[in-house]
Amino acid sequence: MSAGSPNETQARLSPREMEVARLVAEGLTNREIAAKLFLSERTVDGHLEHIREKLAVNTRAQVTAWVVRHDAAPAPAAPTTVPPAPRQRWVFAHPRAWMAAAVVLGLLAGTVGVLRLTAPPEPVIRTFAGDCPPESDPDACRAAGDLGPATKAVLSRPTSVAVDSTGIAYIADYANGRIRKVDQGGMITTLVGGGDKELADGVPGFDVSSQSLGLASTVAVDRQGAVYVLTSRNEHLEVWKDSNQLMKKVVDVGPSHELIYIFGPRPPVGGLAITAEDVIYIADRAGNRVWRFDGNQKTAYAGTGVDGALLGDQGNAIEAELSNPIGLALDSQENLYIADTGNDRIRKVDRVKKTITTVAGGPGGSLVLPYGVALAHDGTVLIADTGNYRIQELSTRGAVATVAGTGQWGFQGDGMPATQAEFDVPEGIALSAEGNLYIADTNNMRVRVISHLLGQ
Amino acid sequence: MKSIAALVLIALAAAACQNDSNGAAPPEIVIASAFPTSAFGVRLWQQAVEFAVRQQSTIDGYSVVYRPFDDSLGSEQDQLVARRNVRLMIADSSVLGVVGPGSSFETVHELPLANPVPLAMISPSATNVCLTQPPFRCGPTPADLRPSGLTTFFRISPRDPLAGQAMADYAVAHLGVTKVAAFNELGVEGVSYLLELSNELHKQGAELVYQQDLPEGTVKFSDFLSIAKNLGADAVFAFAPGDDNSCVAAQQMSALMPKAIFFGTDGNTSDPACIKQMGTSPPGAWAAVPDVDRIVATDPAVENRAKAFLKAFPQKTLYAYTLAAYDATRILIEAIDLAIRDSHGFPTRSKVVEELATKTFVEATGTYRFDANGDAVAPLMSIYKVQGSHWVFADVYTFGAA
Repeated sequence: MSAGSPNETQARLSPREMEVARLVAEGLTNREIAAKLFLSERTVDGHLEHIREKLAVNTRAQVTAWVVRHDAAPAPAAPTTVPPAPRQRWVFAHPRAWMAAAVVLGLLAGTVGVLRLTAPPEPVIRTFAGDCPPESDPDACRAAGDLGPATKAVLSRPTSVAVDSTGIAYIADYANGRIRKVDQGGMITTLVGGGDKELADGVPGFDVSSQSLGLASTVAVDRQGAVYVLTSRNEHLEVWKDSNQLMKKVVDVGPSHELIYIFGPRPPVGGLAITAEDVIYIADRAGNRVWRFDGNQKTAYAGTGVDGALLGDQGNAIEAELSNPIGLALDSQENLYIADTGNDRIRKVDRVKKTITTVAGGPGGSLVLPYGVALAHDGTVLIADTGNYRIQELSTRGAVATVAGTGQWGFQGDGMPATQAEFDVPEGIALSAEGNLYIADTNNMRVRVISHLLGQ
Repeated sequence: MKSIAALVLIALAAAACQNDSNGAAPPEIVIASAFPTSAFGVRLWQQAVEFAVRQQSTIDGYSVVYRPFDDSLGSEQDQLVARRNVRLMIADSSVLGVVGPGSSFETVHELPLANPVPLAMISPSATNVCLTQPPFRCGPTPADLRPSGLTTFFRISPRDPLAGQAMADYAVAHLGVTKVAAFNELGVEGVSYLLELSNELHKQGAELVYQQDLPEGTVKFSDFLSIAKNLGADAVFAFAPGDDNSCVAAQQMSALMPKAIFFGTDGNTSDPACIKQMGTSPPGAWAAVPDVDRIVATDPAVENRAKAFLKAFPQKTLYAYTLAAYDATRILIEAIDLAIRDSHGFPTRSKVVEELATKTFVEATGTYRFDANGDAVAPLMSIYKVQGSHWVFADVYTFGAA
């Protein structure tokens, strides 16, 4: 089987695959390529496997021949010339166009185009924080870059992101055991974690950066800007709060049996959502429940504790089975949305009736292992459709559309329309007051942002 | 004569008509595989299973079908994907066995679901000691992994700490080593390597003169090497993870103990930086790797079948454990064959487990039978050595022969 011509196939290789293909052509072994690109050898093997498949070749010599032909071929068109699929959102280009629209409607025919409808440019994605090469071994991405630009900092498997009302972002830098903070100017610091001392409950002056956070996969902020961290320490799920550099334990959720992960990645321990009244909802992934903590008492809010698919839709939320719930979000009515990850669904618990329903996913649905969920002010639901490597939007009318991601895993697309981006296991997501969507692109070792995705 | 021929023709036609009228395809048996295919880039493992199934696409009137499962989520293996996949296998009653899991991580998540069924799993490549018979407390324990109490998980590659035994035996028998100093960057797991090492050295009349636990990533070995030298060590054994700096020890040995040898594990052979870390004039460097990509079988039928496989998968392109994936598939096919015969044509999953647990299988990389924990009784390892700027295959080490 021969390889396609360079121009036919060029678009099918990701930038990283092109890089690997060129190094193969230079005669480097997989080990040498791995060392050069700071990747593990197996990652290089994986890239090469994909390259062979995409180019329909079997040998390194054929890859080399393809690279030689490709690099000798005329330069392909710039990515910007690729016509993006515009999102179907139409706006009036002129500030007073609504008045013109009224005129048009009034006059119906005979009046010449005073109204002009324009498709806005599609939202663009970029890296917000993190500079460790995508798909690196997590151990190779040791925390670095504090007090510098977040885009140059090193994160390792970021799993969750939260944004306060002023635009400060907080990132659960999971494999580094830290919560990182990115200010409005883009400078990153470590808020807490990274040390080896036991978390100290309410001890003033105790250096928060010297503390060990445990398995702190999830971060949230309340309306006052206080930061909450969900962590599993000694197989106990706990919520801690940082207030002016003072760590306080908010609630011990209970046993959270975490298996020892032999040579494999740890999933997030759960999710957090906080109401205006500081009621905390906690997704206990390993326990297959969602808990509610009102400041005094912790009660089961959804899930039976059994990892299962007896959904119990329309019934009481505490009688429904959940499977590995992770992401949580609240709408303006404080109805709770749960990423019921193992059931491939987003569930909603009615605040008043305490009943549960499926709002996205399920049979015939399009979600695969959704890890994250976020709510816009207008009720639009954004979903990290993790297993499909994309971000989905569920409109208030119930329509589901892809807002980011091609559906293929990998890393590409920065500076391009978000629908052309590739993610590698996008987990947590957060929406800022300005409508910017932050995405913890976990295996790409970074947080990415789509500015003004929703015009909030 | 003519009348006999006519009768035969009529009989054949009748048989053909019967087949046509029934339209029934032969009953189907499914062999599944569970590998972190895209995360580890191991499509070759799938191809090895597929090749073995194609070599024997029918067993006793059953048609054998291969169904691969990929336990990856993006560039990582994933527990939710692994569990989902094993549930799909369980739900399909025609799946009689699984080649895999491909990794210890997958095994931890899949075995507790497959074990109560019971669905047989035979792994070519999951080597973590915690899966079967840990000498220290593991979480989860083997009992957690086998809720039914029955052994349903079998593996042909040796559990990791046996590298200590192989290294000791090979170093004494082939390299003339008598006094060994060892460092351990694997924590509690490394202790079990050291235990195997010291036991075997003792058995061979050699000695572990010094051992030291070091933090992972250590780059300064001079204190350790000085003690080793003073105690007369003629070999340094390294137990360290991959992507570590343990090969730096070899570079520092060239100044302090130039005549001693360095002996490591697959952590060293799989580390792309290792050779460079050893410097320009390293000592003799060896490693024990729990995988064999060489045919050791002498049975002509087995040898010819395996040669056909190697012809299709040239050695240069063989990824580690590819031949093991082929052999694991062969073992499962043979167990299914035995199960069909022993069940009068109606094999069950339980029967396949029973055959795996009790029978002996002669394959390309060795002759396998399994102990009560599912570990191969006489597994094999490869011995590699550094030649120029590469690790090259040097020898096959068989535990049963030790």
